[in-house]
Amino acid sequence: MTQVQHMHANRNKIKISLGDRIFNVINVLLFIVITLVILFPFFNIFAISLTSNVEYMREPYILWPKEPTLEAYQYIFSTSLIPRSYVLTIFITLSATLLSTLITSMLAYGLCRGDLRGQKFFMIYLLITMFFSGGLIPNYMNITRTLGWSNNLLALIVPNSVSVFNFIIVRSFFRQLPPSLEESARIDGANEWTILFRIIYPLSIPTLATIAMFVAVGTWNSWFSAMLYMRDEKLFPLQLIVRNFVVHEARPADMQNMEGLRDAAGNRIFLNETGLKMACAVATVLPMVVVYPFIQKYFEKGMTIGAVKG
Amino acid sequence: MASQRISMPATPVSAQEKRAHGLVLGSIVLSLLMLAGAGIWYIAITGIIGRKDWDFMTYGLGPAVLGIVGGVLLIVSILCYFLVPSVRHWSKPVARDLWKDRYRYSLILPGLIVVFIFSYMPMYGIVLGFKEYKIKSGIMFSQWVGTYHFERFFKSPVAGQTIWNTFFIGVTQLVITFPVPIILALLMNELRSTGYRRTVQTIIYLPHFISWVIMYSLLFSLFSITSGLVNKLLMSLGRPAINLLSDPNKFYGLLYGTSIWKEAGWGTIIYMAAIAGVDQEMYEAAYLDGANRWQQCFHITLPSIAFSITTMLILNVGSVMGANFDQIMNLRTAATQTTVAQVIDTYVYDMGVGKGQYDLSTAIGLFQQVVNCVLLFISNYVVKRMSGEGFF
Repeated sequence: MTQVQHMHANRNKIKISLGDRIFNVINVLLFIVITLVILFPFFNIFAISLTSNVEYMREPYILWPKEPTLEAYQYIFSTSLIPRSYVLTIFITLSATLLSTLITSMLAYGLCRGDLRGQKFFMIYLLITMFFSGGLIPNYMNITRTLGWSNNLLALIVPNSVSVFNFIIVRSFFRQLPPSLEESARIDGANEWTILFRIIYPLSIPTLATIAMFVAVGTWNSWFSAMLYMRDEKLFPLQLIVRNFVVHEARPADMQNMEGLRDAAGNRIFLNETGLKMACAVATVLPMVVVYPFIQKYFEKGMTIGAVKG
Repeated sequence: MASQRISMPATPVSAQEKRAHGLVLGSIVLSLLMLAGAGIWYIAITGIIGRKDWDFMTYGLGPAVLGIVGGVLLIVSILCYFLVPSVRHWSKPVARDLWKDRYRYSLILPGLIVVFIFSYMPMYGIVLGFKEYKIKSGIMFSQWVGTYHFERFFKSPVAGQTIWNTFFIGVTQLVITFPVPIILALLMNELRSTGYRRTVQTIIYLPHFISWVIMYSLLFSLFSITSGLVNKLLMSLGRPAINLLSDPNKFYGLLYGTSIWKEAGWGTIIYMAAIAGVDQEMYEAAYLDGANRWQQCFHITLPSIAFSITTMLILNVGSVMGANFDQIMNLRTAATQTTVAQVIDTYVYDMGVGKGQYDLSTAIGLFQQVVNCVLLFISNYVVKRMSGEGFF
């Protein structure tokens, strides 16, 4: 970053020609357009989710509702489905992230110095899985038949807990740490577990955060495993509920009954299907959008390590 | 530490000791061969006999005995390796290293087990691609049919179309979407205000973090034929609505568009990092020589990130056949899913999960795996030749 700033500081000293100025203006405008194109769809689903059915039916189109209402949100959070799924998705995401970060970093630390007997075998053993797997049906049968994990949350948490890509990122970071750190601790009689947890982890928080974020985002956004392994709607994560609702246009069983919806005056409230769908989508995407700016720098870092080191 | 690993026996080794060492190693190899043989024998014979006529005493005893003998021999020869005095020369450093690193082995053990259960155990299921699957018989006792499923797939008209679609989508999507992040990064680099550039970066990375499910929801809110904003606007202007989401002719455009919208910004990270690493003195020298911004861009920035560009390109080529399963699963509709949107991955899913044809689906999946593997190896080989450092 400092290099870029330095570069721009240098460039700013240079006298700017008219052509350059025109280019600068066009460039700035271009990026305003690009950012608007990216942000508008998010704004749009939010607007629809706040629109009452009356207004939705009345207006030919709606950019922003005249009387925004939270009815759709009140309704989806009054069903048992969405709040339960929220808790469930958070639980799955947290446990998958914790498990994966722990197992992957332990693996990376154990194999980071390259002098373990069988090192080469273990590396090949791991790397093979990067480009060859059983495939969809063998995996499916392994989890449902051999392990019997249908309708079991373990099927959403454990199977991806070793990511070879993340393993490589952490391992290449551990390799850059000076070996003297471990050696002095070893002389003091600490074993490798103690060294990893007391010395290495505190030094590696940004890298661990990076892979934790990769796993967390991947888990939060995943729907396919849940579709394969979960039969019970009670165990569906948010993405799968939204997928069934929006992509397959099948309203969840829990949202069939809307007769109890009344406004303050006791009149029945009608909700429109699109508003309901978009409220579910907003509820699903909101945690990601809120958390994202805080984790952005970790991702940038992880991507560059991952691409440079492979 | 490295010296311990290749430590040679300090005292001269007698011929008898050498013979003992050879014997122990030989019996380890033999026992491994026996175990593998027993496994293959079991897999083969169960597929021939079938569950109904299966009689363990007649057919299963042979491989079972072979397996047990192999296992016992393996344990015995490993024990011999560490306990017999005449091979101490070789086994002592090994034993010392294993004991010294016992904590490190315990650290990697959970990871190795997870990989075994979820990556290696399913590989046994690949035999299903060569069997006629019956639920009653399970994977093990279903009958062998050789390459029947492969022939069935390749002879069906679906095969040609599906393979072509996969190839066509992969290649065109790569060609169309690949240059976008490079252009974006070069333009972003020309933004003078660091604050503005950071803001732009934050916003254009955002779509990468949403799922394809949410991506479809966003598209639906804009382009749904009845309730999408764009179509409502068009209709209020008296124009016909555009059927973007389920018109087969627009499907590929939809793929390219959504890929660019979702991933192009994210793709700039690599190039921005590469640009940040360019030596600033080069720009100053170029400026003194009278080079303008375009010339600086084309003669300094672009050549400096050429390596990143090539690496990314080759990596993308490696995954060209079937990198967009999630995208297609969420963007395909009834109108497109059996025609333009049918790729190998989705066909495997439709046949396997949708229609329950586990055997055929496994066979097609295996075919795709092999193709992917070849592509990956080629791309990795090229990267290795270029940079001296491959990915595996």
